[in-house]
Amino acid sequence: MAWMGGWFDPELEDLFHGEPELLETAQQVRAARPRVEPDPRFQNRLRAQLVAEASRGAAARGVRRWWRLGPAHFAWGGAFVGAALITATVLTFVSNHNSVQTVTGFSQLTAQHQVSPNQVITVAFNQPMNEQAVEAGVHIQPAIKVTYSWKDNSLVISPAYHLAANTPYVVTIAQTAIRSVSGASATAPINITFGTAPTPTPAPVAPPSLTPVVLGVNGAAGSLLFAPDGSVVSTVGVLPGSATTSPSPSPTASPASATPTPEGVITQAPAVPGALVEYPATGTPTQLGPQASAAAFSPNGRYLATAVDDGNGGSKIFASQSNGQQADRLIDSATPVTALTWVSNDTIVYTDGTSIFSVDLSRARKTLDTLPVGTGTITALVPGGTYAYVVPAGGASGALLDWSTGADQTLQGATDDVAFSGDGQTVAWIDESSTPSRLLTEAVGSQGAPTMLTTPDQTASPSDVTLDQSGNEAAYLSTNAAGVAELVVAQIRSGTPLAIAPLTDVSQLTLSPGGDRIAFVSNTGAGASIEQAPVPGASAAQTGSQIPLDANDTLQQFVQAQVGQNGQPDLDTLAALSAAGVDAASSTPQNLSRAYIINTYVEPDGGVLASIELIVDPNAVHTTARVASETILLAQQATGGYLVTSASTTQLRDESAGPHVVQVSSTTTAGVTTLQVSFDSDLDPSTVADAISVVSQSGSTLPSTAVYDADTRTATVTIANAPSGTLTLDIATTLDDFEGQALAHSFAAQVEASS
Amino acid sequence: MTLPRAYEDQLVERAKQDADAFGELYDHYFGQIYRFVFSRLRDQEAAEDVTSEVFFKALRAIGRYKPAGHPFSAWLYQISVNAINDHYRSRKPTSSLDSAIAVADPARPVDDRVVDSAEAARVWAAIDDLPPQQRAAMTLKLGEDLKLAQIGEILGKSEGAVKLLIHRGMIGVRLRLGVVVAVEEQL
Repeated sequence: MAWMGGWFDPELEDLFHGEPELLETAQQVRAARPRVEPDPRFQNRLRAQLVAEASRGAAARGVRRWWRLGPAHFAWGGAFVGAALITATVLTFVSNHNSVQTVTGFSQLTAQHQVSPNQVITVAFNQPMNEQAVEAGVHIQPAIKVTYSWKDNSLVISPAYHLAANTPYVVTIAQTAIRSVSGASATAPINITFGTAPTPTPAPVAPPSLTPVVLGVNGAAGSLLFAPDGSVVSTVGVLPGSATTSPSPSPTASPASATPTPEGVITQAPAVPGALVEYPATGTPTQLGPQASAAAFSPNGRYLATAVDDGNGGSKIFASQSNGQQADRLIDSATPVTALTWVSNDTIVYTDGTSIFSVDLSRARKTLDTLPVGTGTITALVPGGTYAYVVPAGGASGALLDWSTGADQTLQGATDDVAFSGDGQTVAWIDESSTPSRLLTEAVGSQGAPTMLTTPDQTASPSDVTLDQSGNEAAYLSTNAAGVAELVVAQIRSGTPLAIAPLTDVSQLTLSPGGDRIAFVSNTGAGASIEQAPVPGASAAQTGSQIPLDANDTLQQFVQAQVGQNGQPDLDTLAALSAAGVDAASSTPQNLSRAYIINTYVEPDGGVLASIELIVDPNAVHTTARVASETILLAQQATGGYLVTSASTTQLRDESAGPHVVQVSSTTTAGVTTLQVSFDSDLDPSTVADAISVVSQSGSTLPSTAVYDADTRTATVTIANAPSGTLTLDIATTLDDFEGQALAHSFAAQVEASS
Repeated sequence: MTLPRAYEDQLVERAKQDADAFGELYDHYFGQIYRFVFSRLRDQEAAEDVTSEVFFKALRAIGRYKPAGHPFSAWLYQISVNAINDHYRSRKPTSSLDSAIAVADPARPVDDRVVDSAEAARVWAAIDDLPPQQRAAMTLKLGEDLKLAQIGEILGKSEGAVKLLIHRGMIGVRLRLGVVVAVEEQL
């Protein structure tokens, strides 16, 4: 079969010799091959762009070497030039035309995706232009305020507030506006399409250290607590006999001789051991009572309850004013009291390790619960509630026992390192069943999965955990494999360290109710001292939209992998960051240029929800940016890291004209919730406040104020005394950019307010 | 149609310094590169995007290009093959073996089948399902009528290896079109 329908290929004839069926299939394939003629407009446009880029290279670098520049120099030069003026890249170019009769315009920004936000936009024309006409024809999307200037035949467009970072831009000059001084015109409008680089991520800032001050001397073991007036109380404090201060500091502390403080060295006489001692931040320690096996201040701060050894193997329980005055013995316990707390302002709950009792200020006593013999030991009582922590006799995971119902809440891997927030709502513990051990937190009474606190050194083992009053902050020791310990104070929600101090041989960590100070016992060969340090990050500590560090890492990597490089997603990374069954590769649109993480939200179950917009920059062929909306859910894995457990992505669509929300964040500081809403356009400030509203979970609109900052294109929404929980931010399309274009579409996002 | 080799070599050398010379190369090769890309993607927008990418890559790399006895078109095809493969890697599959088999009717005469444009698309969808190297070799041979040696230059393979790719590719296409399946069932 030498000829097949007029087609003859001797190579295939030879290749398929003796296999006529394959030759027939070859004929079939060839006859079916698609035949298409390219769009001449595309062909001409691409030629113009290529020739212009080639010309620019030759003109800018000299005719010999321009092509030898690497792609990074060639294509992305604008990204690092800053505000350098740019020339070249033909946008309206008609070959075989007299350039004097036809206006051509050039901008090097075209087709670049990493233009510096500080860049100016320069359009170089081939002849002197009617400047006013050209300026009048300029339209920029997203809308930004600009000023115009001319340098020779080049129009320099300078943004008033810089370009928005990580944003696709289309600069259009209407064809009718492109007129030269001589009357020449252009054959088409100018479309300059480019994208800006993300604002560089600031380098991570190391959390501050702690600067402890020695408050006094401690006896053996015991516990610390903060008094309502902010003093530190030790159940086994050592009251100094007398003290004098010398001006020169000493590097070592000695409970019986010299203690370094910022003010100098306190030289003291031999101390009186074993007492309930209050250590004010400044001034002299005072004794509140005898050494106690347990102590707690009432919720209203007016009373102090203590359990004191009666010398006969039992305990006496006292209630006094918070300063230790007017102590009243409430009851005697034949067995030693190991823990006590207040469940209300007039009732104390205490335990001897086996039974739980209550006694009120009128001395009425009840037995609340008794553990069956041999089942375990009660080692702690949850403040204000009905829970006790029980270490089982068998050494398995400890559990919270609701003594009012008998229900258990198992704390996975917990042994004796358990802590409760002062409000009794949160429990934190060390899961010693994993290696290294983990710091887990959970709501008291919850049956959900615990949340693992992200620690700065994930190879280190946490221990000695303590919580603040509201459960927003934790302090713990982190000990690495080499045995080097650090004291870490961190936000529970995000794991963000507020302070890290290289302190060894410390114990009895105690956070102040507000989390702004930490007290601990420092154990040295010379004895034990009570120290206190302000937590530097705590005063500025914010809660709200911050998500766990691991979740944020996964989210950032996942989105970056979707964008990939040169329009190609990083499929390996996407697969590695996706849980089984999530096919992120197939749901990721092609040729992405950038992405916005609009909003993140921590779900009640600890999962992290992220709203993302995936962007394809406009180009010469498609002069409108395209966008796909994506919702990602991340969940913590048993190993501690986060994976994407679902990804839902819409089809790409043309981006609507008008301003867009590009990011929302929320923070709560000192009871004031602040939302930051960033836009890609310069807004009409007078439309901002009325367009923004915040709605509570119950559906009521919360009083708020909104202030627009033109430089950052950000609206700051402030809500005083917002209720804790989920809020909904609504932005109506009555919000306009400075050109009067309405918000591209109404916007709603869930944000979180924390008390 | 190819340019005389000596003239093409001179043109390429000039294109390293002269935008107009690059424009002339573009004018000469645009059509066949575009058609090749389109034959592989069968989507105008995607074909335009990939064709743009091919020529911009060529422009940026032409300073390093050395003819080494091969036609300039071989280099452009090489860039195209890579760009197309990148494109395929980045997108969802648009055809499947099932869909190719579903429309194939081996009982019909070949000529009848190829006049059916829908089936033409299915035939090339079967090629889409081939492994990348077989796909490229098949497209260059049956879509562009290139010589085996030229295909070898583009793919960086020997002529014998190209023959093997096309032979296997053809069997693969028949399998996907249901021809072989039908034969096996008769057996």
